[in-house]
Amino acid sequence: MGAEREFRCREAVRLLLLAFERALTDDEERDLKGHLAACGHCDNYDRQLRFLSAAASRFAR
Amino acid sequence: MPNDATRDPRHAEIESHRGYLVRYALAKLRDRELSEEVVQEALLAALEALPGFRGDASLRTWLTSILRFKIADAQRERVREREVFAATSDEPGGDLESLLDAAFGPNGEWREPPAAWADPHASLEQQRFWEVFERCLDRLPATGGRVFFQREVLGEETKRICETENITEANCWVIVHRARMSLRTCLEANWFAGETADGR
Repeated sequence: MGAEREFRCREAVRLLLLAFERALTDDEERDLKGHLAACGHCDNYDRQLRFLSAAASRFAR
Repeated sequence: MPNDATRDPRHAEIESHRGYLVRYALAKLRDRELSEEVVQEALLAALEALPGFRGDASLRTWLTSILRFKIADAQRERVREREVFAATSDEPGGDLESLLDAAFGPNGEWREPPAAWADPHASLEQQRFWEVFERCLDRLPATGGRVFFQREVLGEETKRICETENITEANCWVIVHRARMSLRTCLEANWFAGETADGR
């Protein structure tokens, strides 16, 4: 259902950001992986955040 | 007169790292004018030492190591002058929820669903991309820019960065998340928008 999926996007992005701060719990990790596999928008967002980190560390070289 | 013949072609290349070095100094010193002075000193020192640079490290890494000494000098000088600079956070951190509120509508839907970026890693090889990247870094709020630079570019520990910035760790994380999200939006608008995949 739409509403459920939308709620999960917000939750997924929360987890994506939290993953920079600390290791996610197994449950969080599983929920996030499951959502990313099913949601192209959040998967794009995840890839883009990773890309930013890669670009930033490359910037120092 | 004979100096022209001995002018090292790497001089221009050294100059091209100035923007990065100023940003590096700014992250440590938090004073634009002082940072520019320190970088100027470092670049002069580098020009003198250039004949001895054998290229074991990248030029940027080598320049940064010279700059670090100049920054340490400047910091010692500042302590001597008893110039206490109160570290104040110039922007409220807010919390994670307010960041998410900005990205998601009242029903939890993406306000602007992220589209795929076409082959972003190929961008890393393009000079124009790095110009846009630097401009986007410049547009971040001052604290956000410094914290993001130290955290993501220099790979320093968030805990230490927050201590230097005199802000709580929770606040610090929100600042760096906000910076990350803003940088993403800026790159998307100014670089990837033209080449976004159609998402089929």
